[in-house]
Amino acid sequence: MNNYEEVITLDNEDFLIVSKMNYEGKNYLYVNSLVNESDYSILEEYEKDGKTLVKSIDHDKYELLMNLFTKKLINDNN
Amino acid sequence: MKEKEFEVPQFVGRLQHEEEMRDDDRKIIDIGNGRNRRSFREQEKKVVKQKKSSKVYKIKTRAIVLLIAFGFSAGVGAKDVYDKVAPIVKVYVQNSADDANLADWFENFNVTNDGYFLENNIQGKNDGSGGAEPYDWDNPDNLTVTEEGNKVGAIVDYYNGFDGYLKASTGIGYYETVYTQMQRLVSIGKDPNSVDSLYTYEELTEILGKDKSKGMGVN
Repeated sequence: MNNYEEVITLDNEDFLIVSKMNYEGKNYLYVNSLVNESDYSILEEYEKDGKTLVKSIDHDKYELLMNLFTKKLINDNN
Repeated sequence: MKEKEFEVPQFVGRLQHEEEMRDDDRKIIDIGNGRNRRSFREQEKKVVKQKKSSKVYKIKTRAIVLLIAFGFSAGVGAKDVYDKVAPIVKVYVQNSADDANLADWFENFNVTNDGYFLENNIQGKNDGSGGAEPYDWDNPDNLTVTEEGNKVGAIVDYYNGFDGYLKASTGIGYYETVYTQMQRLVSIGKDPNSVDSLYTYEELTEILGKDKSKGMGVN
């Protein structure tokens, strides 16, 4: 059993990586703030100059990815 | 610390990016129910691992509950999602001389105009009995097409737990193959969302020119 959670720091604020998903060859993260529990984000992961970077997804992708994460989390939780 | 200030190309690029994304970047969007969607500019992903705590569990549980709530409240039903993203893979074969088994299996599927898609349990039957898969993906010699021209399609909910299944030893073979299959269909210009992308095993083997002996003709 994994007793550790992955946390990413965004703008000096810690976010828990709640779920990860690969869609169309890209990795996405659903993260939730550990400081303000009401804050969350969906991040796209990508490589640049040998570094792994993340950024928020474009607005037009939000609805789709949110639904995919929802389904995934429902499935993972079952 | 000075070095960061001289990353001129990135800085210029970031300024342009800021201009383009000004309306959406770094915003905190109140989406109701006390939730805020945060936006971030690109930054390095530095993951740290911390021991699970009750707070983390609380947040994770809350996030899951809220995600479920959002999913249902977003007005986008499962069928809509499938229409947008689900790949039609192929169930172009069935178990040898076992129509009853296949029919029984398909009772667990949701039927769409495009054929069938798996509801949520690919490894076993949805009734909880476990049940063997009707398909032997690794042994195409045991698989026969139901009848000439009868192509059985499956829209596989590949993303639903896909990542988790890939990490599980029991799920690697199936999901990895499904996902690879979908990508290969796209790579040869086929639309995985179209019923035109349903193939018999023989057809797919011919299209992709792969070794039949390696299962599904696509390895």
